[in-house]
Amino acid sequence: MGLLGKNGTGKSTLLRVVAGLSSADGGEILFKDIAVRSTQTGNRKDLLYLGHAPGMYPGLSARENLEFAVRIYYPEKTGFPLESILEEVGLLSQADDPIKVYSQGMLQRLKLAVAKAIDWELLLFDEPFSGLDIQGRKLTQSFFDQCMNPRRSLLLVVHEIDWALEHCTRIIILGRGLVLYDHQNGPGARENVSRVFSEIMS
Amino acid sequence: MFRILLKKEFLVELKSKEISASMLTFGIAVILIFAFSFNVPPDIMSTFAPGLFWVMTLFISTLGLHRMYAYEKEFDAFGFLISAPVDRGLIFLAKWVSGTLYLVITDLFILPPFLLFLQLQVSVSIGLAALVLIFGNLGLMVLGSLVSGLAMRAKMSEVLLPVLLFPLASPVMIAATKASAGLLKGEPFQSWQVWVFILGTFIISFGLVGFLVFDHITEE
Repeated sequence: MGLLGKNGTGKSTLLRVVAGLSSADGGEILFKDIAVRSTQTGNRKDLLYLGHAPGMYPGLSARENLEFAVRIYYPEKTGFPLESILEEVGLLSQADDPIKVYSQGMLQRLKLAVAKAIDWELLLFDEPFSGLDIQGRKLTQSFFDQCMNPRRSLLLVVHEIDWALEHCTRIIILGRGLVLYDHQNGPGARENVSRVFSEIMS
Repeated sequence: MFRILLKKEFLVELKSKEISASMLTFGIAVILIFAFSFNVPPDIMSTFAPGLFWVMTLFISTLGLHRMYAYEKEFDAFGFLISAPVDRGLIFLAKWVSGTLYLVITDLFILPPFLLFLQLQVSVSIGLAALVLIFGNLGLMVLGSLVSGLAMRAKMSEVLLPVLLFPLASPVMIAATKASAGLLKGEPFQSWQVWVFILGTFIISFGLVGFLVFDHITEE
């Protein structure tokens, strides 16, 4: 699911509300029939929020941050293939450096590593391609392609309309504090999305 | 889960040493200021000493608390943490316990220069001194962790933290100062134990409140 809209229209805020970080003015977000704001944490183990910021500790290394992220999702499990995940995202050689020295692209790759390490059912990812080089984009794209299965859903904040039209099954456009467009992707979607976008940009 | 969160707190501090370094440096600086500002005989100073010690500890705790929550905000690690399947009450407990430990260690390091520079001669029971120190620090940190959680989402949280914490910490400051004064004067424990019980009640009450409401106060 692609969430599009002009800057400042509340895409990231909506993602934070869905993740249970911010409270909504009204209504309730349910995930697996349990409110995400509930003190019950059972449903949140299948939900992964990767916000605009890295969401990690700048003084810790990529390995330590990834290990901590995995440990809080699976406190009892051991033997996670962290090395191979770090290698897959191209961070193994710098895995022991504190992430405060990482570039934006490297931090995005680390977020991708977290998404690979956790067995989520709903992934909320804010601007997954931001700051990535061509190789990083390919890695992310390939990961999203692997995630295309009925058990998993992705809610992505994206700015590239063409990418959303090519890969998302549903497109939502926010603007002027409203949902301006919310339809399944398909024939005629390009024209409608372009029209809504030209309206909100004018 | 609590162990994982606590381990993370210690790991972050072990790597950066920001909290311990800032608390220790600030504590020494305050002692020097006290030593230069109060030109009074040691017997008069000993009546001020308990209050001065706890005022200094309150200032140090504010500094430490600010750093403890600032690194959560820096890369929005807190956002990831509270969206994860973690009981938010445990986040509060981990902050409280780790913060108290940093504060106790800092106090142990700055206590000798405090006694030396203020020319204080003390002869107290180590066990009772440890009891007062740990209870006082637990009391300050339980409130501090709660208020920091409340203030961390606000702009100017570094200003909001002392503005909210100092008035709320009055009962802890009074009880800890009275208990320390009784201890320093060499009075029997029975004559000042009420202050320790007050501290104990405060710690348990606010510990429970913090554990239960931390979920709501960290909400945006």
